[in-house]
Amino acid sequence: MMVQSSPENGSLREGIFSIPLHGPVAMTTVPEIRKVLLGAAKKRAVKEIRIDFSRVSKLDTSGVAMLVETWRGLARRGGALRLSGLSENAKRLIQLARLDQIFEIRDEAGSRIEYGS
Amino acid sequence: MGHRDLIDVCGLNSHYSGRQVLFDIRFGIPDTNITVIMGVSGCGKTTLLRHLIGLKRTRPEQIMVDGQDLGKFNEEEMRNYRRRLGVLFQSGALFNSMTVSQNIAVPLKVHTRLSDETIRIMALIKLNLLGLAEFGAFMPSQLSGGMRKRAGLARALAMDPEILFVDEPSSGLDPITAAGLDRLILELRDTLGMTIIVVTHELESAFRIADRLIVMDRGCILAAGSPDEIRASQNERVLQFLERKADTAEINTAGYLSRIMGNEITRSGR
Amino acid sequence: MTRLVQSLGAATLDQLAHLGRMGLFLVYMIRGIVKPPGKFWSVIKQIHFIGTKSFFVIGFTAAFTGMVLGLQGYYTLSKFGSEGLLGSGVALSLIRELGPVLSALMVTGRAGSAICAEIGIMRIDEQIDALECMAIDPYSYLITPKLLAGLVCLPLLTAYCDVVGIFGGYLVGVDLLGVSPGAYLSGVENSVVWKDVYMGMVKSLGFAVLMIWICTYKGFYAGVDDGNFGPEQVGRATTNAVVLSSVSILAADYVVTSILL
Ligand SMILES: Nc1ncnc2c1ncn2[C@@H]1O[C@H](COP(=O)(O)OP(=O)(O)OP(=O)(O)O)[C@@H](O)[C@H]1O
Ligand SMILES: [Mg+2]
Repeated sequence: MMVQSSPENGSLREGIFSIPLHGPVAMTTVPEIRKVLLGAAKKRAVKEIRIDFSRVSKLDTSGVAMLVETWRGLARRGGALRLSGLSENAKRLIQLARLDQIFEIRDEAGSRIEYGS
Repeated sequence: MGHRDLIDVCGLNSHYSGRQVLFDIRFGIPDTNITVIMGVSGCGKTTLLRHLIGLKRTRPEQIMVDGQDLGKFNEEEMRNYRRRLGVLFQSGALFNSMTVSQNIAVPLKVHTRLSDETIRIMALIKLNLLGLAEFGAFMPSQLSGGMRKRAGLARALAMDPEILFVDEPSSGLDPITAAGLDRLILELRDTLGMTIIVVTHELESAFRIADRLIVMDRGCILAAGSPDEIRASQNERVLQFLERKADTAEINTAGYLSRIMGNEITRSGR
Repeated sequence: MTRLVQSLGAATLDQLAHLGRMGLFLVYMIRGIVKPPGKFWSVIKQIHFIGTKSFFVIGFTAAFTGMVLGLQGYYTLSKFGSEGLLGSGVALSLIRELGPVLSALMVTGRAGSAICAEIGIMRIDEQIDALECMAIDPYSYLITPKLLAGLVCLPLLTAYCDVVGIFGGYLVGVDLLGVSPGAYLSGVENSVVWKDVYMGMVKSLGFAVLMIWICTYKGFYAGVDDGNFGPEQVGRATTNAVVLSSVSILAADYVVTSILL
């Protein structure tokens, strides 16, 4: 489902912008990644952004904030943000921030994860 | 415990203008653990914390961080060490010329190139963790004491620190908010793998969150160990502390009487 | 006797240690200019603070000083029949001496004391410790912007003081006492040379450093020596800062004048 391209630049196909991230998504790297994501979220052709986190080593609050910004840009136009391959810790961080409601988080199989309270 | 010690306190002595307040303190702080320091008021907990965060000068070979000697850190090494820290001061220490959100943004603005909007959302996430989401635009002077404490903790968490020092987080908080804070501290350890050092008087909270407990008395360590080990302790002072018995007042009667007679004595001498 | 010598020696050493610490403070404060974080906006904020605090009070002081100079100058000069020199007299004393000194004293009283109190409160409330724990250099973050703002503000305020003062002298000399306007203004124009302005500006820059240095230093170390961080320490520090800055400004004025004259 994912066309592998250079990791910084995702691929756009049928309105779905897919991007695999790798390495840390943290305060040092977020400013660059944010540019790419917000740029994509602004494009009219993009209906949905899928971010693959399976090769991400670390996610911190700045990364979560960046995801919020991306989601906001999309949601204004009815788009969706789907996250996949999140590590257990990353999922818990998003839960801790009480933001698990707004992103669609998929595990490897692609099914929606249900959280027990 | 299967953890290496991140910080090793090995024989720390501390003085305030000649008066000794810490005596040969020895303990280890394992990483991704919650270490709770307890003890009666004035026993030197805050002083110990100030040594650990490099605010009070430490002599060489008394505190080791990752095997490096904190007492010998140069400016650069100290800065790098402090980049890993989040600190909540006993007074909160919020910058009173800025709103709560701006307070949280300070370290982010100085140390990162994040955009203002990202920083705003991060501050909001941190405030929400502490139940203060509506109060971002308030000035510190408009907050209650307990809220100021929590806002201080939100600021301490701003940089997602690796090591978190908190000085009496739950003083001035109601039981419900305090319990929420305990849960947050546990969550921080579990989700972010933080190493957390908490100073507290609250026995219940201490036993609820601690992986390791340290009981101090008059500048010395009385007992250290897991909560179960501390509960099983036979030390008289520890028991007294756990059972919340007031001092029998005999302990320093001699000194008190001699002060009444007009003779100045100092307990620790010079 | 040995006791006396001993305590004298101790006091001397103490003072030397203080001087050393003050010197180091100045070094850190200046080093902050080249160190991160960026300070453009904080400098602007400080300029605004110093400017708004001192603008009116300097205006008043300058106006009345100029008027008094006009009055005194007129009566002195008229004894020799040389009222025509009034313009140059007023302008020279303002530009070379009174402008820089008065502005510096007024800024010390208004903004300097506020700066000292602000930093003193941050000290006793552990806010400076908090900055250090965030790995933020408190000198560069807190002190240096005030120094830069002072360096921008004082020369401007001095120039403003000079202009208002000369106008005050004009008001009294020309409108009240009947010196001819042409004589007054040409007196100003002919007697003031570049060196006088230069001297005034050098002074105001020097006073800015002196005042910010002393006021921030006193606030920064409020209560540190006593190990007592009570609120009364801020009041003490502020009083000390204002007195010490004012005295140093006057002393420095003499030194600079004797060197540049
Ligand atoms: N700045 C200071 N100057 C001199 N003595 C001090 C100073 N700060 C603390 N002390 C002394 O050091 C001792 C320990 O103080 P500390 O603040 O570490 O106690 P604490 O355990 O944190 O107490 P509390 O639980 O009340 O906060 C006390 O006897 C106190 O008088
Ligand atoms: Mg304390």
